[in-house]
Amino acid sequence: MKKLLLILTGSALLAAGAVLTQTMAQSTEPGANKAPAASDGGAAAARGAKAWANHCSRCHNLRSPSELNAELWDVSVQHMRVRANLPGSVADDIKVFLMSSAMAEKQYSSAPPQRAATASFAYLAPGDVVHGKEIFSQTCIACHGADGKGTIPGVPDLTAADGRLVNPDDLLLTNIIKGYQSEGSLMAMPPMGGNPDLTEQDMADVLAYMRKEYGIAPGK
Amino acid sequence: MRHKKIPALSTAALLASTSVILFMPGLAAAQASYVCSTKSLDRSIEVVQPDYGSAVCKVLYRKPDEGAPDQFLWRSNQSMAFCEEKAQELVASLTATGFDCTEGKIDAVIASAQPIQTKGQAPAPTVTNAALKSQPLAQAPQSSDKQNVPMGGVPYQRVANQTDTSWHLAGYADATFVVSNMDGTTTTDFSAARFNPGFHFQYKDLILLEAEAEISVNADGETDVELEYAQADIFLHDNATLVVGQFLSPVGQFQERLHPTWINRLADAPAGFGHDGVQPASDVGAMLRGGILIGEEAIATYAIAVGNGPRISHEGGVAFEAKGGDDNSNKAVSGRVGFLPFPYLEVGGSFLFGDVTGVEEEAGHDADPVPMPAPVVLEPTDAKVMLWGADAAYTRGPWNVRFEYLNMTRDPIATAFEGSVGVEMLPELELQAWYAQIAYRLSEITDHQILQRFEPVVRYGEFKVSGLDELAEEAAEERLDVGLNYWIAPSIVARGVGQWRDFTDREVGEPSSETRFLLQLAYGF
Ligand code: HEC
Ligand code: HEC
Repeated sequence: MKKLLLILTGSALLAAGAVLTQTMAQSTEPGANKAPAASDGGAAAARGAKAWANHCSRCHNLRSPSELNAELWDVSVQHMRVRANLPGSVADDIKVFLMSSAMAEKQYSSAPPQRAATASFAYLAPGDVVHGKEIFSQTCIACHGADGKGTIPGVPDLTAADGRLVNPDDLLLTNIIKGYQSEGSLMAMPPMGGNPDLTEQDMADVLAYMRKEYGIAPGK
Repeated sequence: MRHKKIPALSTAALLASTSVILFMPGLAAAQASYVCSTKSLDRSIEVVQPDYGSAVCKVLYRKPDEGAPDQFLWRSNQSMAFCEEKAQELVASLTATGFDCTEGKIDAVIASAQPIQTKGQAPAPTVTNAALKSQPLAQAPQSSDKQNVPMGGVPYQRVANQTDTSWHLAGYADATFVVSNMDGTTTTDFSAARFNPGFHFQYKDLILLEAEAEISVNADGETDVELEYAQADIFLHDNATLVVGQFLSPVGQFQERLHPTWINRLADAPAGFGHDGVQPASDVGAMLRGGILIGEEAIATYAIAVGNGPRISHEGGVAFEAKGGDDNSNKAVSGRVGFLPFPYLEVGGSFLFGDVTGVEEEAGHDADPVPMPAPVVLEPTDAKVMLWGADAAYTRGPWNVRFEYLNMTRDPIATAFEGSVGVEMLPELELQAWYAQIAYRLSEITDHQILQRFEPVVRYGEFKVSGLDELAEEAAEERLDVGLNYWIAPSIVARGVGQWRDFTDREVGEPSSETRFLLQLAYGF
């Protein structure tokens, strides 16, 4: 038993040592203290969505991205970074995802309801299934899962024949572009999956992909 | 959820200038720009060149008069011509529906029907327009409701206009109703209504101050306030955070990660993992902790703490709760290393080494008359405390499976304790506790509005004590819990739990088993 204890302490100390030396090495690099450049918002949000779904459900239920505003997510993820021993880079990706989800959300939910709930997206080009698949497997997969059945409580099974996809395109596009949370739902669908780099056309592409993949056409 | 901005006026100017450069998803000047108008409203179509990301151009569509947020309709990673072509197509289609389009721009701060309400918060970072961009943010119009926000907010950087300090009030509250049957006698009780507010103050990305108190009402109707933790987290490096202050012990999983009732899958702590158990609760000192990404998604984590460590408890056991001062000059070293080959599987090992020092007189009982002088006069001694543990968690999809084991030994010690006559010799004490728990969330098998919120859970655990009869009698037990959670929201739960406890070291004639039913409402905020 003593041996085990020694091994445990030893490895903890080693890890601490490695980290400290790395810290020192890093801080002597020129420009090491510069704020990280906002270079890859889209990719970071896609990574962040996955890391959020994976890590933020380890101890407690995932809390809906709509629960806090961007600034509070900033504080809360920092808090969780410590509690969960997350590497800073992973925590930062999660922030990209949560903060862009929350920020976009605020912006939409504050729009006065002066227009019909469903917008028309007739100006978008017909969806490109191949590109849609790409988008799906980068961003949407975090919550909807590779098979579209949903991996998180509150995420609907999109493959169900009588499920959400029987709704008309315009309604679905409105919901996924603006983000929404239906009455009593446990989790919000963040606008464009919480990825600030995606466009309305991208959403039309994913929708086309999902319709083809799950074989569900809009109902009557 | 409430939060408040702390004004940092002196830094406003600095923030304003740096935020433009560093914190905004800058978009360079529009390459081509059109305004399409009807009698009452303007829309604009702009081809912009993003400062970051792989796209060479995006088409920005703004409808400020209609309360609609800005949208990026298209983007291209290769060709500016693509965006220009798309912009012109849109111009053509708008013209066809009766808009009158010309080249030009609408003023970025044009009156907008869309108040961007961020409840007393600064407007979300904004501004795609060159004219506004060159204007220092500090002088941006105070009526923030006139600004438009490009679709999708920003990739994470601290929010422009966000002050250096942010704070957040979080925490949890719960109320529990207990029906207990012990030896044929049934009692019912509203026990343990608790309110645990937590405060987090963050200064940039450098320091986070976190503190949590536990406010509860005890059996005598008095209010107890206890400090759960109060710590400063200093972010040294991607893989290292220095924690100083009073912190929850990193040993094992339950105490640090699972004890808040909205997180715990059952109504109370497993046997041996609560107060007076073998799991260390908190300590005062310093801790270095962090995680290191290995490859794509594996993570190794560590936490190593130096603190005042345990002390002798009233019964002569070991108390693992933080105290401001130390009972001896020897610091305790404790910690945990964890490994996650996948994010949903974690295995960990924990340890603690420290000393406890015997006491001359049991605190709180020094007024008791000592009936007889102790036959042999003993001096209090020190004793080594060693603890090790192993834990594992599997949290994939609907499954939440956990296991923890802790083992502590304290060497023989001369000390006074509750019921002792002066200083007496106590033999080696060994405490062991373990539990295994499985929960399954029904949302995996149904999308039904109500059914998907249920989560059945089972836990079995044991707490063993050898070397201290009083503690063994009171606390040694085998316990089975069967519960059902109903998740009202991801952090609000109503649960019912059946609990069967067998006290393994009770004296003959004492009730040795108890059946309890617990109803609990827990709220994490
Ligand atoms: C290692 C376990 C663990 C992991 C992983 C974890 N949390 Fe937590 N979380 C906790 C605990 C414990 C609390 C309660 C803190 C308290 O009350 O002291 C908490 C509290 C929260 C709260 C309430 C507000 C607060 O900050 O206390 C939010 C929101 C939250 N977590 C979000 C997240 C997000 C987002 C992630 C992913 C980055 C995450 N959690 C990952 C353990 C964890
Ligand atoms: C944060 C997790 C999350 C991500 C990421 C996410 N979704 Fe969703 N999605 C949800 C949730 C939750 C719902 C159900 C919301 C509700 O009903 O309240 C939903 C609903 C939907 C629906 C049904 C809409 C309707 O009208 O009922 C579609 C379609 C959809 N998502 C597509 C996508 C696409 C496409 C992406 C990627 C761009 C994506 N989702 C990314 C969580 C997510």
